[in-house]
Amino acid sequence: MSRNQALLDVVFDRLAETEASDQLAEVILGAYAGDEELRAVLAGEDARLPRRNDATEVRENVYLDRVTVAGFRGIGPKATLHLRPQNGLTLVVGRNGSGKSSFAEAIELALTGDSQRWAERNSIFRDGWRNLHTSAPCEIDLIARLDGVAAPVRIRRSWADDATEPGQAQISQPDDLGWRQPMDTYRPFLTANDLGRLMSSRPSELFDAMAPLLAIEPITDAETRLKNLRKIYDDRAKAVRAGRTAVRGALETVDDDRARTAAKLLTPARPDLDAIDQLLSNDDETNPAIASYRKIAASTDPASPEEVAAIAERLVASTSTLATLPVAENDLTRLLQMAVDHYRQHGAGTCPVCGTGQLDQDWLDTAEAKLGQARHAADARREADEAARSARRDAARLLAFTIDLPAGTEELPADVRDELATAAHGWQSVTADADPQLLADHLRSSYAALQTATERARNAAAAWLRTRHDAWREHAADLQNWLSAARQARQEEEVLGLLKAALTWIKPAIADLRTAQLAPFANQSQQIWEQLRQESNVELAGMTLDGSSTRRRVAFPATVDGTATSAMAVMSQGELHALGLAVFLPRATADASPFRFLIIDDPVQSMDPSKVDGLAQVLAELAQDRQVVVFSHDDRLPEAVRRLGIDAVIWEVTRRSNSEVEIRKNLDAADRYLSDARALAKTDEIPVDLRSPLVTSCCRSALEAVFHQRVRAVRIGRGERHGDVETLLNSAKTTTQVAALALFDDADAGGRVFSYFNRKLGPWAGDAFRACKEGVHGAAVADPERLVGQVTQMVEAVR
Amino acid sequence: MTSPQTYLDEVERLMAAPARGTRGLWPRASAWLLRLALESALDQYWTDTAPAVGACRNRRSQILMLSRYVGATSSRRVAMLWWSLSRAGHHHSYELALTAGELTHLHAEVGEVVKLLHQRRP
Repeated sequence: MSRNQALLDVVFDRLAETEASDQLAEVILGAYAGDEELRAVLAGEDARLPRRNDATEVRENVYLDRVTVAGFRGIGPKATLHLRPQNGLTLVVGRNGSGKSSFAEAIELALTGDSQRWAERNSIFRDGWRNLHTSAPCEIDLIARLDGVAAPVRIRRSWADDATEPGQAQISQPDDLGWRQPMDTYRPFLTANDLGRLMSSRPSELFDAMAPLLAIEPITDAETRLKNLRKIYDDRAKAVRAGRTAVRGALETVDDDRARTAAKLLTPARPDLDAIDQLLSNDDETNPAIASYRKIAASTDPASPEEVAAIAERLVASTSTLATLPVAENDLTRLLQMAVDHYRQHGAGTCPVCGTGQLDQDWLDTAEAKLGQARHAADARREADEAARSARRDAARLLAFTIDLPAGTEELPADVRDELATAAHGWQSVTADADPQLLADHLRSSYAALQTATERARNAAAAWLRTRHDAWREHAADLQNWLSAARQARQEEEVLGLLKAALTWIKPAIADLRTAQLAPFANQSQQIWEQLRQESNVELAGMTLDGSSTRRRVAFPATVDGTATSAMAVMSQGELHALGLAVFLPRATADASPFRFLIIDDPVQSMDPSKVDGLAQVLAELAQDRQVVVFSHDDRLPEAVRRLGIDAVIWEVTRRSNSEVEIRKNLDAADRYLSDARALAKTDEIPVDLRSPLVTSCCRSALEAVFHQRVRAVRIGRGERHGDVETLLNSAKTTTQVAALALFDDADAGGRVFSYFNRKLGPWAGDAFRACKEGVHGAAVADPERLVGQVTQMVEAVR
Repeated sequence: MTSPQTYLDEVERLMAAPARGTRGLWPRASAWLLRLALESALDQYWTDTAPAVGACRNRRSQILMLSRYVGATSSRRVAMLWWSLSRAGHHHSYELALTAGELTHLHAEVGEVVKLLHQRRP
């Protein structure tokens, strides 16, 4: 089953256990599945939620076969390191500068793209990635093998002559490896430097290095999704709450009845949104005061100054016209009219009034002419009279004009109101039936003042209306925005509640999961530490990943001589390295990792001998189901591996002055010396007088090596401390002393060594031992090859 | 008796190109040949200067005596050289063969000491 499926099962189990509601479960599964699914669940849409028991993943197991390196770091001409692509332990031993670490770095670079140590270091160091001794092409060729697949995986990186950065490589590798992510998670490369750096880095960095191992990202990702979404909703709700206070505060400063109403509506923590909506949609017409101001603002003058002037003129003109017209002699005209009528009825005759005069045609003509004149005069007068009356009517209409300042208009400025009152009073101080001349003068002189006052009142009213409108309009807009946000927040309350519930559910779930997932690693770390610590008084009580975000850290509660403390504070450099191995070996060899290989560079730096024994055992155990490749700068680890009888392949790397790297199988130290001696004895190229002391030197070293091994096996076997044994071996200077120590457990028993070999193997053995001691200083040996054979027998006898 | 220069030449040859069968063992072989070169130079020096000292089989005593003949500085130089070459020629747990750089340095140093001892003869 894939790890994600296992994790999902844990989630399902926990959902059932905690009796989470369907709705809550859907939200959590949605968050687990992804952003889009979470959104869909919250929106009530169909979402593709994960199900139990999906298809399982097939894991491939990756082993390393060999790496060929040229022109890179300490390696000049092409050199190949062969690794058995199977479980087991391989040691690559070489002095610092021999080029062994170059192989480790080459493997790391080929697989990760950038060696961890270069990423950390300065440019001077980065400049050293190309080998200076060769003009040969710079290239790394790595062959890996997948379990059960015949075809090897080949990863090649080569650099052009002008490449200056490791990143400028031409890469050739299969497209679909998909190793990058597991490479980051498991990092099957451990170097002493990296371990020391990681262990002494900030707690959060260590946490980040460890966290991916737990493979609970899907659920921590789900938490992140929920948190992100909750933050969005929460922020909106908060903004609405803050907005209520802000809008209300602003409204309270506005002198406006609507603002006052709105402020009041906003007082409760959960305002009545519908009431606010209604307030916003109301207009002003119902307010009587507004109507008054509108009336004032909308009022017009009764006449223009020119018209007023014309009325005044008409008043004056009509009056003077009347004055000049003669008063009509109406009675005489009537008598004359009656006489004419009498004449027309009765004809010529004597005047009936005076009885003397004669009414004839002449008289008639004269009389009719007089009548015509009289009628004309009457018409003119009537006309003038009418003009005067009309002018007076107009004047009366003008005088009647007034602006009332009804109740509710108190907010007009006082001077405007006063001026208007004064002007109105002055205007009406003269009545329409006054003397026309007086009236005309009044009209002429007073109208301008009235007009100015009304104009100012109009402007003031308009200004008041405008201010009121603007003040409200601004706040109304704010209130409208707030209302929309508030309505949205109100709708989102349910979603927010769900998100909060989901987060409350998921937080302890993650903490429990983390502990559960970490437990096997923590246990393994503790076991490894138990093996590595040997004589250290630091006990590792159990590792935990604590906290989150900026307070995340890896805690190593430890006890020193029984007192609780933090492991980091009390550890030596060597112990810190050992702890680093204890912490990171489980990561590099995690069960879920596709990488069955593990590269460890220089793990024994600053480790004391007893820890090296512990390390050898740890590696041996790992090697049972891992391909473990260890690079080491000294022979301590191989020695421990040989002494403890651990099955391992050992390569020794040496480098010539021109960066030519040689790799040969490193056997047991004594066997290697013997094989060297055998090879030298047959090397005709070296003159025999030079060859002979070299052969005996190797023979002597073979004997010394086997003596050392025996001393160590005996003394460490009976519980002596490593350090004491080493001191003892160092104090035994001569070959005879070492032999005595090995054979008789007593460095001073040198006198018994010859007889021991003579008795055990025959008289030739004592001679061979002497030849080894003396021949090295140039004394010729008759038959070097025979000596090698004899010494081989002696080595076997001592074993 | 093999001359110091013979040893030095052989070391130079070993270091420059691998001899058949010496793959990987040349560092130790070179170190031992260098020590033989140094001892050979010492033997010649004592033969010419004080045969009685040369007859003494203890090399350490010979080197201690040297300070009275060639001065403290030079004798310390010989002593250090002899000890580091001896170390390389014996089996020591945990120690790997000398590197090419170290050998080059030792080779030059032995060459100079051989020259120095030759010049200091009476």
